[in-house]
Amino acid sequence: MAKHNVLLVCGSGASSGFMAANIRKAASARGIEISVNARSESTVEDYVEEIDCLMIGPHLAHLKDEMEERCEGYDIKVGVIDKAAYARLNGEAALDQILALFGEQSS
Amino acid sequence: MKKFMDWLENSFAPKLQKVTNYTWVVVIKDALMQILPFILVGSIFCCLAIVNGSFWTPFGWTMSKISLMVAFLVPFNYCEKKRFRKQRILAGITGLILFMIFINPETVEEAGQGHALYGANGMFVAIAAGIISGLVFGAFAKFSFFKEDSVIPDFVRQWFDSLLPIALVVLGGWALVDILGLDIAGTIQKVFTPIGNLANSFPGMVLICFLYCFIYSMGISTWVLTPMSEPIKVQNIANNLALVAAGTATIQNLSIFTETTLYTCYLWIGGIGATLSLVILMCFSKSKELNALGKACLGPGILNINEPVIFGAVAWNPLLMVPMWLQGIVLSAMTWIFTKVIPFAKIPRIQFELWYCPYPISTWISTQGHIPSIIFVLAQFAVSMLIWYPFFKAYEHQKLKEEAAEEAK
Repeated sequence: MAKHNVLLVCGSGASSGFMAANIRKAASARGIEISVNARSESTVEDYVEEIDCLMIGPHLAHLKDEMEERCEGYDIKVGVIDKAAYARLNGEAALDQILALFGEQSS
Repeated sequence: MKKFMDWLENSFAPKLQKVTNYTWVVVIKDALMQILPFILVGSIFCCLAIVNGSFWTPFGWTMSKISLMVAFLVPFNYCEKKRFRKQRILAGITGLILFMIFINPETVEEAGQGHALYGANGMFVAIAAGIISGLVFGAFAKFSFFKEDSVIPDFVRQWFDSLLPIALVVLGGWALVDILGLDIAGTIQKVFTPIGNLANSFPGMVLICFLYCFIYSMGISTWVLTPMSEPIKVQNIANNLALVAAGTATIQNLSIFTETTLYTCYLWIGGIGATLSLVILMCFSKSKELNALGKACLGPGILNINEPVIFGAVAWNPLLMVPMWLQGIVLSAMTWIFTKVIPFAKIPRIQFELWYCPYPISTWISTQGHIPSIIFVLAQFAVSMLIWYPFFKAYEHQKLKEEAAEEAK
């Protein structure tokens, strides 16, 4: 499995920061190498060259089309984190969601 | 009630989302969010300046320059968004130039200072200049003087395509300000004064705080309100600081519609909607689901981050949406009454915007250790919990029934 480089965005990078930490924990427990960073959605352009996955907080779901536009021309999978997973800051569920975007099953 | 919820979900929310996706809302919101690091650093310098006055100079170099930054970023972001990437830097610089033309700087640079409108007070002018620059460059991006198979070399064609918009904007600005003598900056500021005044009035402030709770309770990020609220808030805090520095600050003329008062001092305890008390109620709940949710949300909640609890329990749940709206109305009204009408709690005289700082430490810092203010914020917390309580109990009752039914299966 390739090492994915994931950017998690929310308004200020605060709530997504907690989420990112939990995803890293879940990945480490499963022995999966993954890079997950949390930032404000206003800085997405700064990262389009490095990432292969962009996950958006559910309260920014209305910006999905906008985010997809910003990623145009780059090979980036864009997804909205499931509400229930975000509510519990469930790193396991979010990790599954990310891997599913790439058609990869988690071990 | 069901009809109202249906209307909210199927009719109102989608329309609101269309507005939030509107190009200029996104572009201006992003520009304001991109300069947040400067505002946060500036607010730290402000706190340090209370201890040592020489920190007002670095404060001036950050907070008092934000309009310059916005004037660049608005057209820059616009070109990015519209995929005119080639023009983005020139559009940004031109926006900056046009902004300076509009405000007609004549004052001599003092250390860390400069024209008064470079800072928060010039925000609306900066945004206007940025929009004009963005629109002009956008128009030219779709049009080129020369055909692609022309004999003229590429770089010359490129020159013309970028020289024209710059020249147009600069000449236009020059004509309006110097030749026609129009006070563009003053006019723009006059247009936005009513909105600023509204935010600084009792009904206006309560309305806006309600609006934050209303939008957020639908699971939509309140950052969408930034283009309107942020310029007003930074102008208010800049005015507050000026009044304090001049020694003429009074309870009447200090504004409480600021990031400091609302986010770090008295209002959004646990995040927008004052959800910390709700999270604590959940932690003691007998419902397995709510208990687990509460515990997961406690850490973030102490740092005033509440997306998890909003999505876990409040958003689109009428039982909890209503008390959230009440939080916006009641707590903001109380803040006004106990700072302005009954001078019990102190209106912050410094700028402290690190909204991740837990309450009541943040209250202590922003009021510079004023004990009655801390008593007030604890009272706010108690009132907040009282508002949540009956609705929370109803929701918990519903959850307990569901859980019992699950176990009975």
